[in-house]
Amino acid sequence: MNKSRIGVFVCHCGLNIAATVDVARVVEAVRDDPGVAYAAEYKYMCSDPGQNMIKDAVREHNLDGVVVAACSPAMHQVTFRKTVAGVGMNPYRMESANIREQVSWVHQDDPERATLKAIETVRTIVEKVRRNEPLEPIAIPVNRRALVIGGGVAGLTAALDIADAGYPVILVERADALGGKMRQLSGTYLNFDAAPDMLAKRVARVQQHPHIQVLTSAEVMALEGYVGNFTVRVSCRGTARRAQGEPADRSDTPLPPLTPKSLSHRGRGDLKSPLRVRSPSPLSGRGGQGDEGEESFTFDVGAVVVATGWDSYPMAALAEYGAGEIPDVIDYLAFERMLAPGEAIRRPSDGRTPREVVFVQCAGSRDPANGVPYCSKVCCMVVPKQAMLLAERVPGAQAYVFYTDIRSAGKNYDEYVQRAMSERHVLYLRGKVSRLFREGDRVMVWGEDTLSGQAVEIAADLVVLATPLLAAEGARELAQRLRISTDAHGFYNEAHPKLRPVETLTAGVFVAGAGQGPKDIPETVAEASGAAAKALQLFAQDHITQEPTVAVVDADLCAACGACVEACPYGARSIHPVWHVATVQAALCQGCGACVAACPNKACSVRNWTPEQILGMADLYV
Amino acid sequence: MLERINWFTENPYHGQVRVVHLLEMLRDQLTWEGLHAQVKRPLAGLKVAPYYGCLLLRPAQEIQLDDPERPTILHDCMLALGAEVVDFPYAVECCGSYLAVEKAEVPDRLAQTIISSARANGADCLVTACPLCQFNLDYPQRGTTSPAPMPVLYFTQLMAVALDLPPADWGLEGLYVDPAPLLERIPACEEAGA
Amino acid sequence: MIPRVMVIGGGIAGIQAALDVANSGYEVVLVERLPSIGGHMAQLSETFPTLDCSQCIMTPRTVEVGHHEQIKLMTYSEVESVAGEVGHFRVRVRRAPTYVDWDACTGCGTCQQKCPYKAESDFERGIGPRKAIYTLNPQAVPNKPVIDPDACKWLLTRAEREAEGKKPQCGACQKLCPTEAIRFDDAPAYFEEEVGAIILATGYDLMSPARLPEYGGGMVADVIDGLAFERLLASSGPTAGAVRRPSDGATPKEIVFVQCAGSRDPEHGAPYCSKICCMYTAKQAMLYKHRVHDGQAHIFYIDVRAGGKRYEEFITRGIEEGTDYLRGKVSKIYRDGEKVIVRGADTLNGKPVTLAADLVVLAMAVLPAPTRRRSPRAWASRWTPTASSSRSTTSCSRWRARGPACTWPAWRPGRRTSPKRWRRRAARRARC
Repeated sequence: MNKSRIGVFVCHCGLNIAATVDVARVVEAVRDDPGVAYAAEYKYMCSDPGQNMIKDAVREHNLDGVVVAACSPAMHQVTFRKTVAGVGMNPYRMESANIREQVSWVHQDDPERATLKAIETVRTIVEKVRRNEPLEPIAIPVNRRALVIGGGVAGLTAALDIADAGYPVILVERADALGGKMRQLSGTYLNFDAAPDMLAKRVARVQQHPHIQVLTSAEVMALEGYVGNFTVRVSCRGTARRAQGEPADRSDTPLPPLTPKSLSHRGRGDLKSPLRVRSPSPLSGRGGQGDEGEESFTFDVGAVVVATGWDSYPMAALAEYGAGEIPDVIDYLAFERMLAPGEAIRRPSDGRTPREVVFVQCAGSRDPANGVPYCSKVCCMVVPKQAMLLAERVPGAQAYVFYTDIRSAGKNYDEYVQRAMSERHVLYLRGKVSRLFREGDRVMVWGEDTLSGQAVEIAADLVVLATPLLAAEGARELAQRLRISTDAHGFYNEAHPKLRPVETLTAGVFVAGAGQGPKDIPETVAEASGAAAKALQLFAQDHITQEPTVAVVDADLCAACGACVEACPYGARSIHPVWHVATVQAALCQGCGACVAACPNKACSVRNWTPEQILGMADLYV
Repeated sequence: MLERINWFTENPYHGQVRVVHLLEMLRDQLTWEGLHAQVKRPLAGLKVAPYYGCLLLRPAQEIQLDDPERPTILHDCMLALGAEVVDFPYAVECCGSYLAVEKAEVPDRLAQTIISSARANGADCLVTACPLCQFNLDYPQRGTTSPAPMPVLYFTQLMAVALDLPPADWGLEGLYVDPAPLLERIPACEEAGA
Repeated sequence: MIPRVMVIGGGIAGIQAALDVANSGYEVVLVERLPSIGGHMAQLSETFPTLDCSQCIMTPRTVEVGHHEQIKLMTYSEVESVAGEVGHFRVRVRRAPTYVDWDACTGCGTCQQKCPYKAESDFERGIGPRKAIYTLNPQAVPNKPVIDPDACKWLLTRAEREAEGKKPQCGACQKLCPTEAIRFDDAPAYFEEEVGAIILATGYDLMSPARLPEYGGGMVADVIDGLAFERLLASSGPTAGAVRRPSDGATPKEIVFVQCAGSRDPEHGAPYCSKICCMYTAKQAMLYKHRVHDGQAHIFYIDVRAGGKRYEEFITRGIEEGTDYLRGKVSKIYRDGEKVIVRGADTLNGKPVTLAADLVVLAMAVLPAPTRRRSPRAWASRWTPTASSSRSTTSCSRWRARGPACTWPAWRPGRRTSPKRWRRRAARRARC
């Protein structure tokens, strides 16, 4: 070890470092340290002449390690590692010593001690480099096939985007038909008439797409593996599939191999067996129900898009609005069905056409006491759409809307609501509804207009409740199977609300649509395309490369106690069933070191951050 | 509407007359430079707070005399007369004169606010472009001595002073707050520099 | 087909698009109008609803763009013209003269430290100055400066001095630059790029408060827009995160936030809803309370549009932490002595409200980004301080937020009279 030939390069960074730290003294101090073969200074190491200086020194002095004392490693470590790689050195034999952010910038008032700290900092990093192993980045192969869970507009869009790029997709839908919640809508706001048609086209395209395999009446039962290499088990209720007219053995027949154009023109060649259905093994008699022909399949996929959508709120839970008791109090999905083509607006109790219709927004939303605390977001736009349609189709009808805030934030949304008020004379009342009760064949609505401060009483023919959007039933269980987290309401957690909205903390699993939180169709479609783009980004690579600074286990010391398995936040550790030692799944390990701290036998270490290195560095500091 | 008016006035009107305000005419026909050239006795040292009120500029779409929220026309006029201009936040505030009969205390209070704000900003006098504003700001100050009353002038009165018309034509006798002490401070020396 | 993508706009949208395309294995050309990427997100202090530091979560992405082998970064550049069709576009890009050789420059910052001339900083929204040679912020990517030809003494005096046969004044940066990277003879450069697809991500800008004179915009120094307040809150901002008002540097004890300032207002601004203001105003009020514990924040709103995951909960938290929400429109904002008076209506109790605030923050309407760099003088007042001496001297020079822009009234271009000429004459006459 002491035979290392390390070069130390100290950067002035203009005056950023040199104004505080005596650079020449730093060079002198470390020049004769053990293992240091060469030391030099330069005004800007990151500039081309600076980098060339490093290259020349490596060649001339036959260096086997490099320490650049300059700015934070976050800034230029990548630059310098590329530099040394250019002259044949293993990039992991290069490290940055941060003497700018952590020394010169923070100790501007004390140059003497700053210089001493700089010398010590450089020495510790030299000590680390002496024991740095030459490493190679870990390459993980990618299975270029995607699983899309959910056949609503989000799932359809994601599946089409991925399939159109030339990669095979498996689309799993729990219901027996595609289309999701959007199929229940009469039309959408802003472009009402076009919507059902667009959905139908999308469904047709998915069903006919050569790269998409649709599994309806199917559910994902388990997911194993890691990014690029997932294994998923899907259980299908065979009867339903057959009812749809699909051949029962369709998933068993491999699709013709695909040669995506986008790949071949870039010389990537063909994909190896792109769609390979592995051992379709029927599961019989599982759980005692669904007994008729329930079978399960196992697929290998590289990425998963979760687009499970939402479910409507149970009307029975809104008893204070008379829901479930008064037949003429319905939710807005029920009213959607009345607005659908070929249907007529008739109230449930006696089939009469309603004239006075009261819409109640936030019926359960933004109501931590009786409903859900969050805002359901879509109702503020759905309600004016329904009210305008009512005014259009029922001459002389009057719509009233009770609202808390009109949340029509979106392109052309505010204008749309304005139109409902001015052109269709929808009467907006700011306030909550306090009571609903039946009087004769009318529904009496007692509410408050908070703007005039007066109580309002409306004798309505029909009351439509804008009920909250809930996470789809079973979303929590699915999330557990996929190893992604959900929030308190069962919506999937994204990796970061601002910058990683369609990713999850499990690499390779993406979310799109209302499963992540209430949102409308434009946002859902945008997210679906975003999730698809993320999956395609994975598929564009032959291998996923990962930093090799991951945990390793000394099998001789490991007692297979399992402490590391519990400590690992990424699920990268397990006990090998045969060898009976702890193993590291390098693709999942992030090199955090939690296992190193947890291991009672000191059998764990992180590569290039070994205990000897850290203790050696600490020795130099104290 | 037009019919009713014509019937009432017995003087046929066809809506073809373009109505301009005197200030507008000064600005667009004479121009401020032209006005400035006519000035014989610049109002040097006189700190004037231009008060626009509401109806000079509104409704903005129809009148289009100036920006209703940030007008400059009276400022420019006063600058052209050689006066110093003082801004104050109530320059485009309503003086409340339409309530002068029904609820006299309302315009009184508003006038009080307007005048004290102008005073706080260092003005010697207020200048208005509306006779009713002028009256309404002037009248409540009648007979007061403390705080010192602030003269409220119609802009043509200051023009008369600056253009050096005979004092008989200044028309200051109708004012409740006598501006004479203030106007005496203005140097009368237009010949010296010429 | 050319497997190469151009992304126009280097804000967070453009950055993310460029990274996603580049990481999929395609070459990307990222064109940004300003000297460095980051867009408006680089100006923000913290982001709702998590209160993550905006700069901290974004810097890894800007650095990645800067390092990425597949991304060709063209900053200080604008697209002049596009020809061709899908799969094969030819784009002409104009790069403004930076007056600095970016290949030679190492971004050491010496020139910025030593430059003696200052200018109003668009990036700081007029709250703080920058030098005539500048980068937008210390974390700029690329970290290379440009010279503002409207503020640089050398460039401004060049024509005049060279006509007299003398050297232009100053030139400090040129003398002090350790790598001799200053190029005063720089000229616009034109590039032709061939791409298969173009992503437009040019972003937004806030409507100028000067368009709302009834709110004192452009007239009252302590009436600022939402982005200016972000700079006051940002730890990288001109006040290092201390909330100080522009006029005198005092810590405001009472702030009024006005939402829908220019939004949802077909008469004065945009008829549409600007969507982001409800949340960022709530965030700003919350952060203000975190910085100034005895401060009070009031928010005038029409509707609280907190539609989004965890947004409603965020608003509720703000209210619990003491933010005062007033439903109604503000009719007028004006300065009265030290205070800024806000008059509005509380539509929930139907009564007029008058608040004496120390600072007013207008959540101005979001407009599409201008295609050309906005000239700071485009809307600024031409009223000389002599005409409004009572007003402009109140602020000490360090805190003079917008200089003459805070005075009113304004000479607007297109007036029939030439203000300068007759005012000069007026002054001459007055002197006699």
